[in-house]
Amino acid sequence: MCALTYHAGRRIQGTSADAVSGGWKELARTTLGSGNTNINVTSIPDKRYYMILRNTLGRSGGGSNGGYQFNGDSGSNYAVRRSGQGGNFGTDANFSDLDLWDANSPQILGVDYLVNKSDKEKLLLSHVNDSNTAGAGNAPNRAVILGKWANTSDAINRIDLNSMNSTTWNSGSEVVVLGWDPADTHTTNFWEELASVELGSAGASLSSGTITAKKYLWVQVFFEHLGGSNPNTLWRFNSDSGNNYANRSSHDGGSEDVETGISHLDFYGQTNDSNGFINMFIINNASNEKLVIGHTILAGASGAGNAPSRDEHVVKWANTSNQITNITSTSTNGNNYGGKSFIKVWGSD
Amino acid sequence: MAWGKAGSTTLTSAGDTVTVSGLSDNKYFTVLGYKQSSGTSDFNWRVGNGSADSGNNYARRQSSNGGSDTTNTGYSRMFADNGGASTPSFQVGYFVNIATEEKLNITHSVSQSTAGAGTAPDIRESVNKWANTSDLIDVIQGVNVEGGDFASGSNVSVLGSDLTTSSNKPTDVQEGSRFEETDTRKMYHYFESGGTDIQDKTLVQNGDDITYSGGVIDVNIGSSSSSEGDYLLHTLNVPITTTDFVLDFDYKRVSGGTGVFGGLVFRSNQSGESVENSNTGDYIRTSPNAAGSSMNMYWHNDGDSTETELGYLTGLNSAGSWNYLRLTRTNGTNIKLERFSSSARSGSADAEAAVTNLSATWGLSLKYIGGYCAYASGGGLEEHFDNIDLSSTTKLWKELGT
Repeated sequence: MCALTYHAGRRIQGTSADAVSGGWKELARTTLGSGNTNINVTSIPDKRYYMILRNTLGRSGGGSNGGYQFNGDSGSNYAVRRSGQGGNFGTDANFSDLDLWDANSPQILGVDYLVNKSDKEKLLLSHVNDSNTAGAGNAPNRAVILGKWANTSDAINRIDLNSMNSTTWNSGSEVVVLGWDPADTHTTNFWEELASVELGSAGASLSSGTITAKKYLWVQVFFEHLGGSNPNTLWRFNSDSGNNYANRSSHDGGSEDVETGISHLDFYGQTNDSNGFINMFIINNASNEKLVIGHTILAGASGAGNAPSRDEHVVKWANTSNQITNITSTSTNGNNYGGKSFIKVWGSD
Repeated sequence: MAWGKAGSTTLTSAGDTVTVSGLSDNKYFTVLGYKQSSGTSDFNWRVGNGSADSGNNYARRQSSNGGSDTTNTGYSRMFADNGGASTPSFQVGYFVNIATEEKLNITHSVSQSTAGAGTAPDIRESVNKWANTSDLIDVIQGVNVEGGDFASGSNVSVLGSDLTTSSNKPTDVQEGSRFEETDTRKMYHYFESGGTDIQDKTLVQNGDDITYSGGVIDVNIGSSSSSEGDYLLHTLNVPITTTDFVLDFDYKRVSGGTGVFGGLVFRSNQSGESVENSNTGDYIRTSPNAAGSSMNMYWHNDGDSTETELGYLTGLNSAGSWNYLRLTRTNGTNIKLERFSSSARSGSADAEAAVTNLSATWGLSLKYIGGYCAYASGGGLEEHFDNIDLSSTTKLWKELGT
């Protein structure tokens, strides 16, 4: 909220408008300037909810798993449930860290949510895209992790991402901690709207248009299905139609569908016979492969008598020279998307 | 537009629901739900318009701890947490919100399970839909259907994707205040118009056939053709720059006349202060018929040679009885005149005359309001106007310049 000042003679001074308050705010960040085994984020204010963006680079050799420790607690106070590649969830109990998925891969993107109440155990939700070996010939790996820190006396003030062995992450690896609290009135919104495009009338292309290049992207898409024949959805970045994409997905919890060396992303492409809604996060550094974590709901036939379907995705665009500045889905089979289809893109560095 | 706080509710005592209502229109919501439990509870989503829909209007799909998907159809709520526990859970939900389409949701949830690091938490991944295709979501609720309650401290927080900036100018200040906008270097003057009876202001009179007495504007043309051009004028001390306003006034025909016309005129910010219907400037005027049974409205666009009729408002009370009228301009092209049965002007109007295609260049940012006499070849007309109350809901600050 912008402050107003009141003066004699009925004079008031202020700015033209209040910015929108209460979005996700960056609270703290640590970016490695050189290789290190730990990424420590300190002096974190007490907020009810955190959103953590985790991008680690270049790890090789040694053990594969890194993990969070909170407030420097290295006691056996963590428990985890974790699944990789859609497999069964395994558990760890009484661990000395909240053991994340951190394989020996060139790059990891993690998008984590954390609830933080001092007198309650802290609960974490994490989705991971592990780039796997470089190149579009190698599909990324995916993981889902949930964990808890069994502390019931302290609010979180520090988050350490530790390799738990001697291997290091490369320079540029970072952990960004965003916060949200019901009492917040700040106007410092981490996520900046980069595009908001509604198709308006039926068409075969839904595009963000040119967007400002940002390191982190958050994309939400709604597809209106017109009935009849289904459009296909060839998602491409920067209009790249080369075979530079790799995709891993699961439909309704089924077996993994792996596609490598393909010309597009395959969101909403398997069962697009109804309206669909996609949520995705992207790490978008020019010199690294672009990694995407996505979830989709397909509405199914209309009415409450028909259950929706779901897709879970991890994707990579193997380009290592450009940032994404355009996100477009094109239907190439002659069928259109409905006019209510729209895409919104937010971003931040 | 930007992500921002659309609403948040934290329970201060145990209960079965945590509800965030009054949500504005957003294409997307991100919802954070935190459950604390008193006894055994579960956390589910309900959404609605006006209130959370508890009907069997939901369909849902979930997987718990990676198990096979299960579905429910024709159900009374969406999935969120794993349910049936006395320990906390945390859920993150993404909603898409288009009135004419089913509302779709993706939710990830983690449940603490048994306290302590010896027990791993549980996960539920779900997708859900609300089959309503006529309403926007303006209520999002966490609801428990188990035997226990949500404990105090449980919270639902909603972020909306389409929040917009709002004016920073205060409205709880004195009339005549000046606002100095530091980022644009503009200055504004505050005009307090809400509920103002303009007859309390200083009036300027021209001629003697329109007078102000006892709180009533009396248009009494008698029989003299020299009355044409008489007026009683109120100059608003600061023009209303908004195109949105509501102007209430009471009208009573005292006695009819022949060949005479008079009424109220509302003029825009034109040069000169003539208030007659001279086919100059931007104005709108009332024109009751001689019998007093209807009232016509005319508007004129500066530069046009003639006026345009808005249409007749019919069914006015006979001479001697007050009519409760309301002139409303809601945007740049719409204006309407309504007749109500009581001074409260509540409920639906009894009659309406409206225009919806005003010229885009037409102004009527009210500057003058007054009574006028336009044509007095006959005589005998007398009519009263009372309780002329002007209100405007937005933009009461007049820009003065930089």
